[in-house]
Amino acid sequence: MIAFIDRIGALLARAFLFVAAVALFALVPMAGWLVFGRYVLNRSPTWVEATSLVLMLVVTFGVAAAATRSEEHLSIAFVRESFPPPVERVMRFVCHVVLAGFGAWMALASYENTVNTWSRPIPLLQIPEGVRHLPLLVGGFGIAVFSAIHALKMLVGLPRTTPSGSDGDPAV
Amino acid sequence: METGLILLLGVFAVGLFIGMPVAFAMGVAALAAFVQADFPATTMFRRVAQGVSAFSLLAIPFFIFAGELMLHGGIAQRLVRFATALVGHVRGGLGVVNVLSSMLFGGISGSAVADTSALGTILIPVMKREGYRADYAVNVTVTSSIAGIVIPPSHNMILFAVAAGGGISISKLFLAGVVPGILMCLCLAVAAWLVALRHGYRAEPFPGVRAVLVAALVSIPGLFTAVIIVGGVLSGIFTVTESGAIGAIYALLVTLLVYRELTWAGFVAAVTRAAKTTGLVMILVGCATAFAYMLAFYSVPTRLAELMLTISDNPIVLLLLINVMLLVAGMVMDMAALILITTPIFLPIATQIGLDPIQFGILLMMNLGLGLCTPPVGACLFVGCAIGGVRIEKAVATIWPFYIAILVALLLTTYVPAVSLWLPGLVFG
Amino acid sequence: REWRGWNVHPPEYPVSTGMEYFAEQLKERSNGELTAKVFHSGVLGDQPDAIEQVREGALDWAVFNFGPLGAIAPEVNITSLPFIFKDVPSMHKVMDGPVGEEMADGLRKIGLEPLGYFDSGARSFYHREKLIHSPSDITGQKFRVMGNELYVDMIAQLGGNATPMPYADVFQALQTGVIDGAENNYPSYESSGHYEAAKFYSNSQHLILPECLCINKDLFDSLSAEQQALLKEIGREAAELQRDEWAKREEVSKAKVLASGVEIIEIEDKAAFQQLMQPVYDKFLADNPDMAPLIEKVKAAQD
Ligand code: NA
Ligand code: NA
Repeated sequence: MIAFIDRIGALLARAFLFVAAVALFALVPMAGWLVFGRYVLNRSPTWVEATSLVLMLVVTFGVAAAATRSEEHLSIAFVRESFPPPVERVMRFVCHVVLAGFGAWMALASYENTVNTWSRPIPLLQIPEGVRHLPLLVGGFGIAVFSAIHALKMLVGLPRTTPSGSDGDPAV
Repeated sequence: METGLILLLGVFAVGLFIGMPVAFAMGVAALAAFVQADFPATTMFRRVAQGVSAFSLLAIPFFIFAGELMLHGGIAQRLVRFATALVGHVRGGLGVVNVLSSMLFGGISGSAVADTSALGTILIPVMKREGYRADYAVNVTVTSSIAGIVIPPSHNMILFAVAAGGGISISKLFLAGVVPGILMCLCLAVAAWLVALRHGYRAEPFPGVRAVLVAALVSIPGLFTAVIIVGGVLSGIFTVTESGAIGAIYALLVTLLVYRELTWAGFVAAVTRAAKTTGLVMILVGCATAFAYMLAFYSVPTRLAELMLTISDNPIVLLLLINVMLLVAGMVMDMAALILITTPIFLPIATQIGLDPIQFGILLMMNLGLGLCTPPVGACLFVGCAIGGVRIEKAVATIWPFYIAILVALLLTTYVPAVSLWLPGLVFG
Repeated sequence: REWRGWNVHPPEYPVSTGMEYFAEQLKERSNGELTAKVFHSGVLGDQPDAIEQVREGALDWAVFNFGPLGAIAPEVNITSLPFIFKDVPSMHKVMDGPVGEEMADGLRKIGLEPLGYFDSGARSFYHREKLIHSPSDITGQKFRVMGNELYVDMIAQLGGNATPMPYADVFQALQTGVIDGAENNYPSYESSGHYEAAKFYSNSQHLILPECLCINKDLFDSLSAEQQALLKEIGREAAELQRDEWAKREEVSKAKVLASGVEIIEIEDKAAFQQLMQPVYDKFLADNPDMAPLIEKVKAAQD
């Protein structure tokens, strides 16, 4: 059962990463359009800035969730790893549980923020202000789910998720 | 100390201790403090969102993406070939080549870890094959990769400008990094050369002026990425943010049309890795914004500054103190998080003792960059050792000449303001 | 608890002086029953978010500019219509009268109780290379404006290229020529250093934005009638103090930029600009039809 949930989780994490990658790539031509509009059309597009910031939120929270599953977030592991395995396991378990709670809290608070600001448009953009909080809502949900799966897998003694598609450390 | 402040710092410390991701250790600590101080959680998570939504931060994905494209599209390799042709005939020349390549590539990528992985995968195997010791190859690669942070463009500098409250000109900051970056590379080149002499490495044969020219010619389209980014900003065509995007578009065109080395798989890898890196840095930025909110609420920056000024009011002592504290912090924590945490604390002290915020920014970059090459936590060191197949303790045992070289550059930049401030002063007056 | 106050300006600014006065008087005249603290320099977030924080009670009080406030309260957004106020004294007169009370109702609807209307002077155009005499001087020029549709439309109506851009990027953009000009009041023109990069200031006074000292409405309603009256009184005094300080600060800034070689002109034919603004007003009215009477009142109160 948990192995099945884990497979669903893997798909979900891929989807998160895919959306984040598409959002990142979309940023590039938009900034190009900004320059083009300013010089060639002599009419700067005013929607680019606000839209870019929304996409940036999508990249950030998409990756934040996906990297929770693959455990690729920047962390200081050497202290934990210097403890004997049973203690280390407890520390890891606590991390997963706390993160599950944090993600859920983030999703709930961001749901409230989304609803509270839905009726008002983002300045210079005709979409609701609440859209800016959706990435946190969905990302928080992802963080909660992936952390919960990690914790459950530890409880039933399944092996750790291997970082998927990780080819070396991220650039810092 | 107030309960909320104890909670903020305590939860953060415990989180780090048990290996929680740094971003979430900050986030969880901030959330605990928010709730304790009777702030709604909605405020907290709006701060997180707000931290990510700064227009100037958009330059970060662009620079990272451009760097990834250069790595996957053959630009980085050509820069190495050019550098090898140029100085490979010097005794211990591959060490010097390594430093020079970092200077050239780092001038574009802006990321020390990208630099280590891009150049390390090309250079470390070559050096080993030519009879260089693996630990030497790793040490040179790792330490010279700091150039990527100091030589513009550098997304870490943008993080600093944002953390400083947005009053700092990013293009001045970029220009200020040029001389210290080159200075650092010179010091490292000297160290690489001296160590090479001691080990008795031989030189590569000189390939001839023709070969140097050919290598230069071939690498020009790639090098032009840097010209577009820096030149576009200085001439007023783009803002810094836009220059990153234009640089990425240009790099894409060069690798697709000129070098024709970018495969679909390479492109997907470049986009995905850029998204990942961006996301991992930005979630740090977001959580650090909420963390900083509570630090400000408890007036921590002011209180710490007052404390430090009671220790000494001598600028030289204080600067040394700041350098040491940053170095120690850099040993155990990663760069982006440290920029966000330490800037609001140390910058007011630095300006109070008469330091230019721009000079302070460069010092911050160099200090924290050195931290990337030190155990126990050093992303560059880890990547370099992994590529070179060297144990970390073995690499560290022979790295000290390179640390000294960086320290020399760091002290010069600390106590001679002109090193960093001369060039921006020249251009912007 | 001690009230948490938000302020975007550094501690020495006129708004900051006004807020510190409010906090000081509050403690003294409520015999220490009510206390307030100010967090200066925007350390607790930027303005749009700080507005949310005061509304939801995370923070208790603040001074907000009507520009960002207009994004959520249409009554307040009227003051962002270009050239709606003739000059700064007219703005004071309007805000201190019945119109100010109607704006206050608009603020109450979004959970804020205004205690005093502060001043942020008049915003005018400045350019890297030339003075602005008539709308044709703006044609084809890239001007930075704040992120509000009314400001973008204003520049578009004058034939210019409106470029929204973060405040922190403006100096560099002016210096390198990414933009040709921007607009602001004297103190900001001076303190941002923009006068070093754009030395031609044309006193168009196209935007005269009030600011308000606000307190969370639920908090205000929870106070006794006596305390509420005290708050209103101190708020008014703080506003008077701030307006004086602002006028002084404007003179200092103006003297400083003049001494550095900045050229300043008064715009002779303001009507030429105002006439072009009709479409901006029309569009605003189409979006907010019930605001028509209040706009008329603002205009009438100045005659
Ligand atoms: Na760089
Ligand atoms: Na380190």
